[in-house]
Amino acid sequence: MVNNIKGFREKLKQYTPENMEKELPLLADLLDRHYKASASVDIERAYYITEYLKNSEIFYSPIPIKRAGAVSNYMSKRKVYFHDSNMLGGATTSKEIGAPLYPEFLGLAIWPELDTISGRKANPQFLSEEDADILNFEVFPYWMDKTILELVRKDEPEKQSLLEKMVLLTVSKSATLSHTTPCYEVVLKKGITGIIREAMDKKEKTLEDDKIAFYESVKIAMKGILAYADNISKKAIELAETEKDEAKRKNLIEISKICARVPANPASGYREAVNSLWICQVAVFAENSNMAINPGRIDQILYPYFIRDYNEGRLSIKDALEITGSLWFKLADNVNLVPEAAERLFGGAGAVPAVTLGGVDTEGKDAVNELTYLMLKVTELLPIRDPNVNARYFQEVNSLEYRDEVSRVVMSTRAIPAFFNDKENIDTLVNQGLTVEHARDYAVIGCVELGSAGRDYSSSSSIFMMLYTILYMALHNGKTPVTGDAQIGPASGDVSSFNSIEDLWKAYGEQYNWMAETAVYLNNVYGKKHQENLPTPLLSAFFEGPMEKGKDLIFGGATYNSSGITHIGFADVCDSISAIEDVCFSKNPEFNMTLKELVTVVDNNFKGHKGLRAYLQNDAPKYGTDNPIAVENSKRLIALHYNIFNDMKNYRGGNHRLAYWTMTNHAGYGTVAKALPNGRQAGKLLSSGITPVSQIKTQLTEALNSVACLDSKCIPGAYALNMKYSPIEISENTVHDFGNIVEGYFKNGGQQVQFNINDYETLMDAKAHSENYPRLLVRVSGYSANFKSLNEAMQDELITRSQYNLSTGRLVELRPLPESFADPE
Amino acid sequence: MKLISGNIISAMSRLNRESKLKYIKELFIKEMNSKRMDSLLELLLDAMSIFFVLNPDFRRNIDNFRAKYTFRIGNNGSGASVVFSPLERIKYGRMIVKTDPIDDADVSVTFESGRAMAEFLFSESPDIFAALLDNKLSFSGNLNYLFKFAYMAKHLPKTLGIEIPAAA
Repeated sequence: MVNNIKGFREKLKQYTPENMEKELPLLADLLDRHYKASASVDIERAYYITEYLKNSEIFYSPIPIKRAGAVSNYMSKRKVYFHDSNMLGGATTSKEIGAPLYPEFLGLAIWPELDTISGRKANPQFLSEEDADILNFEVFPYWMDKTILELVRKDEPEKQSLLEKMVLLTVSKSATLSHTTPCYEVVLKKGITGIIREAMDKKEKTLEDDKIAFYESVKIAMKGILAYADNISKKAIELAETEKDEAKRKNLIEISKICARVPANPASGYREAVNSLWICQVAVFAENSNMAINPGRIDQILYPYFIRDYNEGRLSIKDALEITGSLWFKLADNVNLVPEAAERLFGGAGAVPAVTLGGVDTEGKDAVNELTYLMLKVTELLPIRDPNVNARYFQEVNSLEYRDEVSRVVMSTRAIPAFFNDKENIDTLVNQGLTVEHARDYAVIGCVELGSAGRDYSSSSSIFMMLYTILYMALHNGKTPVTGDAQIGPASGDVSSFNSIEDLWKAYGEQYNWMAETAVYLNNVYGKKHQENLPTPLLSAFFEGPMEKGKDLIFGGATYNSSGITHIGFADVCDSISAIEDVCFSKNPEFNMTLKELVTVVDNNFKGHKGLRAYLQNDAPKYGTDNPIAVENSKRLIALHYNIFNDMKNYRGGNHRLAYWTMTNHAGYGTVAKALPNGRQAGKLLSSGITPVSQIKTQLTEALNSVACLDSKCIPGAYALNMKYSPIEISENTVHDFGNIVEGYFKNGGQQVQFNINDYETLMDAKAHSENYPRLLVRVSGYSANFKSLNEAMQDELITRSQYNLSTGRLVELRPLPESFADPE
Repeated sequence: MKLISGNIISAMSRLNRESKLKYIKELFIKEMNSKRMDSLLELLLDAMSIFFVLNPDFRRNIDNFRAKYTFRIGNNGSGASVVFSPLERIKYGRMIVKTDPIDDADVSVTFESGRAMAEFLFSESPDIFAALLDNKLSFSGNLNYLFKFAYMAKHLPKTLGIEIPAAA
């Protein structure tokens, strides 16, 4: 550990959640405000972007310049608000907690809900009548034929229609251009004016039109950021003149001074660096949607500013906690605009900006420093949904003291941060072609995905593969549950002709391959549409690569250019294959069934076959146990997926990084998925991330080992393993035990693990009486959420997740099973 | 070309504005209480076209709006087409309802039944993906046109004070 301050950790210990009101009243006040604020739809971006594009229609200019002009128009005209006493200037939207609307993506989906979104039951998002009228009459009409989804539909109506069936796959590019980690360090070191100078120098030296347009567009976008910072500075001083409260007045004056200097110039101190980083994050949201744009390894990026200020007496620990806490609240000042139609799948999600702490530096040395500990303290003090805090841990390089401090914070918050295993994650990234130095500098993207910060335009949530549909297609000769008799996938054979489990594996492989090809094809079509319509000069300026090459990120300007593929329903599908092997092809004396017979039973949702279903659910081989069939099948499934995608390239020439995280999708999609051979009935929950199916008969170590033994080289996008523990009293011993379990799991090859420390009863009570649990924070499948904001299916999923007793390692059984698990027969 | 709204329009020709609204409301309530709501499409389109005439604020939604829709209830059931075409000189929006199919519609929508249509169009929270997954709705063409139509259609029950049918 970098340890420049004697007794630093002891000093940090003085601050606790219990004494926060007294010791850190600013953060206590901001926390209170945060939980009282409700989300509103913000139309400012949509309005100014549309205004610019309408007015510029008569003039020709290259698309990158037009796009930069639109973003700059918004940044320079948007109003500046100070909703509270936060120490940082700038905000994602005009609202205290705002949902920005991106009309170029799926913003028009709220059109039918303009009058009702404010009052809807699930996660209402306030929209004034006046703003609704502006959207209805001025903004939406302009975009009717221009949204990315409709532009793709014009070229690919049939494939787009298949996509809209939602049970096959999802290509998220219709909704977003995001999921990556910029390199804000470049702004802290050069300042925006430095970036503009660099762009102009490079423009002067090239004769290529594309490069000239790129550098010019960078300059225009950067000028928008300067205008915004200038407006913040002016507004702050204007408000300071009339502010009666002396502390607030001083804060406004300081913000004004800071924003007059940064991000235009290099940052000279900690508060300047933090505010500069934050304004750049806001600017990225002006151009790209607010989904999983990550500040990255900020304990590393901000450390030089922190330590200099601290050592030179300009910054106390209290100051640093308040500035860092202010950043936490700013990162949580926005949510996604979620139409009712998407509430079932994405309800309760924040914008998931991931903060990554600890781990090793580019040379492989311990990177944990005082700021790492300070940020862990802020995470403990401020249990809020965003940012999504993740702790990297490299065994035998990082200290046990650090590991145990992360464990203690998880136990204290009962949910955050998540643990990431550096050794496995660095190796899997190197296997993807990253240099070891770049791999060591990985940051977590959104939920769990990995990318070298500022070098890797990873678009990590590009494709969602519905594994349960692929299995269904393998069992139904290429037909899907929602397209009837239409031959959608390849005719991989009628199950009555399957003589061994190998025939099923072959059929599954054919269907997966077909779906992978379809997904990659569509993702590439969307990528091309992004290239034609939505270049990203602003974000490109914050990456290594584009400025050197004169090439935008979405044209492959970054050093690395991957796309992420995640999978829904892994454990259910794995268990289903194992169940088929057991019941149909292993001469099981109890159930001597043909596969055809089993498929018929499953298609009838196990009606009249309660005994068989009970066997499949409880006694067939299960992933998450040490059953050899299940272990072998889980490894084989992971390898099969990886090998198929390994030969395919995306539209930027990059790899596809496979991952297993599911956000809230496993609960949402579960409500529409048909029954599966592992005993799961139609409409019931699917398993989350890479996590074994809930309530299978297993023990903590068995469950962890079954995940750890999966080949992490086949999972370069990482996964979400959700573990639930019974509440534990925090002591030196229990913290150490907690850390030891993570240690053992990582030693065996685990990549990631995240926790919920809540028992069944508490979560059931929170579902029934949400008013009593206003701040209950839980880990979903990659990110944190307020329990009360989740839809019912997701709440049920969290309740029924297997709960383990940390001290015994035993499963705490949930009896009786709630409705979401119970057999209706 | 046959205008399907002929019956209602002629029945209402001598009524004042309030009486016309009351008449439409009665027709809606009767239809909403029927089991299958088979005539809802015809009624909805008729009522919308009349609303656009009666209510200048509502008509603002279609001023300068050019679009073509086709609707069908069930694969072999009743169907209709709608053309939004503003009057050139004064830019007033105009909604023309026809029984003939249109080949070049911006969006073509098929609802499983009149009830499925009511559940989607009049719902407080229309869930298009659930409707697609449950095969209650299928469409080809531009989804944004359907979103706009759903927004306009929702104003009818709201303005008339009609209770929205609960989802089946």
